[in-house]
Amino acid sequence: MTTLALAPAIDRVPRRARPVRELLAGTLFVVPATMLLLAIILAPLLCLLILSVTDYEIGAMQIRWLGLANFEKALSDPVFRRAMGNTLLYVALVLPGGVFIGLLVALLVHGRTRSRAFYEVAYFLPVTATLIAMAAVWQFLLHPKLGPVNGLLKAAGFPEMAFISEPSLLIPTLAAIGLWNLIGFNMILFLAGLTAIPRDLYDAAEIDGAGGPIDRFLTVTWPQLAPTTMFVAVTTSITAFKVFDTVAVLTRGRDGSEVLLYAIYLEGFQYFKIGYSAALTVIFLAFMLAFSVFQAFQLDRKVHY
Amino acid sequence: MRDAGMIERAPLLNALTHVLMIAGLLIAAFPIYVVFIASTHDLPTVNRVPMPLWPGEHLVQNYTTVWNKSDFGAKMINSLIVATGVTIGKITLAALTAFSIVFFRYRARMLIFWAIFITLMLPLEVRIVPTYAVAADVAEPLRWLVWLFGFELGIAPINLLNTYTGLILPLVATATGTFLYRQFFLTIPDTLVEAARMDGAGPLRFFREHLLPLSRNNMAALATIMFVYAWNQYLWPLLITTDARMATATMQLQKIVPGPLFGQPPVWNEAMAATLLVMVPPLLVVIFMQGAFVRGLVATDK
Repeated sequence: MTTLALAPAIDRVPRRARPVRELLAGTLFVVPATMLLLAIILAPLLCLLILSVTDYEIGAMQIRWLGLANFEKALSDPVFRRAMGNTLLYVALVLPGGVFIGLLVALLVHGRTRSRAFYEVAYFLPVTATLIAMAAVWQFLLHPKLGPVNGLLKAAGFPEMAFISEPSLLIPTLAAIGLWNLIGFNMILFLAGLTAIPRDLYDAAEIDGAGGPIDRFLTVTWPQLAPTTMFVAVTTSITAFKVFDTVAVLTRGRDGSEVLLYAIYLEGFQYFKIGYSAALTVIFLAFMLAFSVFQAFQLDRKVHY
Repeated sequence: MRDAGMIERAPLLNALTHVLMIAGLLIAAFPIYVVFIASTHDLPTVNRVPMPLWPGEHLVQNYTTVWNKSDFGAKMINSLIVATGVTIGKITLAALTAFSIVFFRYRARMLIFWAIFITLMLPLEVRIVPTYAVAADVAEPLRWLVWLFGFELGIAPINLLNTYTGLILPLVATATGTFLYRQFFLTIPDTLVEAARMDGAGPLRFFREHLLPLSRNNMAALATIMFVYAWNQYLWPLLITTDARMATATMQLQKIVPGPLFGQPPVWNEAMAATLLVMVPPLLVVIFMQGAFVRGLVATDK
């Protein structure tokens, strides 16, 4: 009864000959999705691979084969390297923060009885807020002169912080906004996981002498939540890797806030160097795939302890 | 509830939980409260230091200005069409695909499952360059394939830019929904499948009369997530629409709220009014669906 577990597919159909009609129906159900998958994902990926070894630009008459030149250029480009470093830093801040704060909030909300519904909606509020809009709001909140956050800091005797102009503060600031936007969603996933833990496991733990809240968390809640935690970690890291909206509104990728997706957007859709941005995309894809496969392996290990 | 019992025994812990939850509430809700407050004042008041934290008297005026200034009504309708289209498309597609993967045996099944798993890892944003190429001309992949072999493809471009189809389809073609549905279908007991078979129900009837009613909560949860996700899309609509009539609410928002490098200071009160306007539809969906939301993500109905 795990929630959202990445469990292996179980054979649901008894092993006997199925009528041809049913087999046909089963295949038919998957046709729309397969068509869409081919047209919207696989075929474009093929295009991408081809484009990434050319110098294609929108409006260009000639296309030349470049081999791996685009990749060499990208990997030696200091701006792109900064974009990779910044994106990794952003993920390193948002991933643990999103998982652990999300879990903490879910545990707190799960303990409520009457006020639970209220807290669920209240904590989910930031998720419904468009990040584009909220980025502007944060720009206001974090404004060195007008913003209430600096007002609070000054009232508490701290110096004024230039959250969105000091280059070294940009990524942490963006990560904090990303977390604010994300926690509510992770909370909902964890709440679902918590609801699915069978009550009698806690009773068994109590009999075994694990009566305190921390004991019960370590012996029952945490291991039972493992599949949910993995799912949350995967979705959180995907969300973190594709950070774009806040960068586009708050900093426009200025010094200190270059990230991968914004770099791809600039090269491809502002400078129209499609071939080069395709190569950047391939690098981005490789990153995501490596990360995801790594997490999938971790998941396998964790779920079958 | 067990946790409630635990808390009764520890009043200190109880107090601490309350403090934590209220602090969390402030962090979650305060920015949105500020949006509301800023949208009810005139510009000089908003720019005062410190900005008042009580509502002012310019609420109606600000909202009317924003609504009329940028044809917000039409943009909201565009967003509504896109978000609804994505939601319905995803739920339908996900239910059908998951049904096929879980309840039928055929050779390509695991292949399809892995294709889904991989697309889950590759969100639209990562595939933005090639997806754009396909949206600009559906025949593009074929054209490249033919070009590889040294030929030219003689088909006129099939263009999806500035269309609802182009806005909706790429957002439908991701796998999150299928994945959640699959997890739910895997918890359906075999006895139910057998019972339906005894009743002489074919696959279509089993799907319609047994699975769909059972997955009502799942559908509600998925619909909520998908609606919020599609409504808040920014990068994809920004790329694929050049015609102002096809612009979505989030794009319009970005025009109303100028960034720091445009030189002029933002008109904060109007920007905040627009922000709140754009937030209302997804918020309504969440509040309306709240009951089914969390339960729907749990694998089985209890």
